Amino acid sequence: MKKHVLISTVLVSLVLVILEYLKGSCGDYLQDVYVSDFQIYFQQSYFKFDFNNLLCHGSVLNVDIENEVVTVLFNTKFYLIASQIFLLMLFIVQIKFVIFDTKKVIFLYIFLSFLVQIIFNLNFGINLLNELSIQQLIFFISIGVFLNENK
Amino acid sequence: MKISKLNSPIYAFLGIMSLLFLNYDLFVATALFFILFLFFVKYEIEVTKIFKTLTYIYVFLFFTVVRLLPIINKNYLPMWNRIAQQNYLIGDGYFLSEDIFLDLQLTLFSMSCNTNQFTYKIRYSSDYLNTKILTCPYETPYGHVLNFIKINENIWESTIIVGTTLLFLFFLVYLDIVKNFEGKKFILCTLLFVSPPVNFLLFRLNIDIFIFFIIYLFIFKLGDKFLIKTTALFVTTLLKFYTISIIFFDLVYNILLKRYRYSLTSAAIFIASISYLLFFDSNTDFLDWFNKPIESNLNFGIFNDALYLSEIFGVSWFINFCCLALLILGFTFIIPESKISHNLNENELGIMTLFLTMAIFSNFDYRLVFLLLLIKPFLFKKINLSFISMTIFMYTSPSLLHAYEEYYKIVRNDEIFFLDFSFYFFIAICSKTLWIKLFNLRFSSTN
Repeated sequence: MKKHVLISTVLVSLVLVILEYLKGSCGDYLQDVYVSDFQIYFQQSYFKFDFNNLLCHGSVLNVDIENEVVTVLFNTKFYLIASQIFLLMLFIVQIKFVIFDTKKVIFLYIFLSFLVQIIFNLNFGINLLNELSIQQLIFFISIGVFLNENK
Repeated sequence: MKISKLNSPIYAFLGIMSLLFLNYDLFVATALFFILFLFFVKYEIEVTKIFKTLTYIYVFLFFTVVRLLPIINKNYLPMWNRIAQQNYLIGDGYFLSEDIFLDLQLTLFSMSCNTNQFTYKIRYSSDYLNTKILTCPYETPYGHVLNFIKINENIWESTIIVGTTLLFLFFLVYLDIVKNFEGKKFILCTLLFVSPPVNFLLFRLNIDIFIFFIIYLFIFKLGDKFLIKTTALFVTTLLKFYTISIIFFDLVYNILLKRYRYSLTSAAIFIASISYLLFFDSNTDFLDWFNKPIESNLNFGIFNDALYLSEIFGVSWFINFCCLALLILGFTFIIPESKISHNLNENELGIMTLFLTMAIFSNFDYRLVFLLLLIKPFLFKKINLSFISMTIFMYTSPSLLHAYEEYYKIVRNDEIFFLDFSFYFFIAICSKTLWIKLFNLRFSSTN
């Protein structure tokens, strides 16, 4: 149990460091500048090997007050992979190769989902209880626990 | 089975049910966590008569009263907005819910165009939009048979009368199904009846609700009479074509059981339905709706997802379709046979076939109402994987969008795509169940 607490503390600290870095170097996010009734446009980014660009996913590029438009740096592919397909991979690994007890499965999913939320969604400007990952999280927890009981 | 003495889950359940009237989005979020709790809690929950009565009152109010109050007095329109999920709100910056019983109004208006030509202004809640004025000729994308039905009544009054009747009937169906359950199963059954796809259907009153009633009455209540069942299915095929999948299932099922007289009847009805579809041009217009990409937060369908994925990754939709089919196949392998429901009869397997057929194409979420007919077999013994995945799938369709708040318009504008894994997992469960049942049937009939 102590080992779990230690690992989770290290991981949470890591997330906090990343968050601090993002705040310092990526500028404003949607939640900082959003004005009700503004239209939001995504500017598709092409990450390639630009790590900075990857971490600043969701940051605001431009606020056009006259036309009521906010432009946000976004990559649909990356978002889909990070917030959804990543959890599927994890689920497959867990089902096929790792035998956890119920509590550990729940812990693992909640933690990783929050990680995805904090890095990609909270900064993007959508609040922490975001539909995308919560929906997948609830599904994977239920199915994962139910299937684990069978092992 | 151990029973909880405190009964606090019951109070929590009633608290969550109260959210139905305050904020439906919040209800969905909390109900989903409560459902998860019910799945894994080991003890049984005692639901007394008083609690049952209270639940019936809540459901009755939700099905009927809150939907009819804004009709009686426009000041209650905010209530209409409160029971709407953000998915049904008008996008592009206007956060007002869609009009009252929108689909029913459109259907009645299209039928009134068969008698005389005039215009009609859709009611209510977005009165300020001029585009809401309809003019004849107007066709809804349903079966050609609607062109022969003529009504000469006031559209709005007809909507109120028909709508009220449908809502009351739906409450009766709820009572009829929920009466079979006690404890946790009673709560779960009730929660499925107030789930997002059902709310979506009652919000719009699409013609699917008629098809649901026809199937419930003539197949699930009088289903032992084959001729009545087949006739009812043919009638529903005339309204919307998708129920042909049940006719096709009956055909295969009867062949496997070597009931050749029944097979001939099913084959005749199947051919008649296909001919009806091909004979009228307006029917093929209706088919277009099955392969049209619709916002991923409002609908379900493998083809629809494949189209979105092809836009995102720039790969042909067919390759994406194959990848999604492989995902289903993968899920099929990890599902243990012992964890799925085996208590399905012919009619319930027909509903599963209907779902699987719809799942291939593109359908609005309110069509998931047919899954309510699977509650009984899924909850026959203890809560199993079939029931868990169906419940989660229904509770996340339309997706849980409460958290998006004002950013919802991003989703509405189709910028964010949802890949709903619970949908694919449930397809895998249905496919496996159907395969096992039909394979066993073939095996037992050859012995």
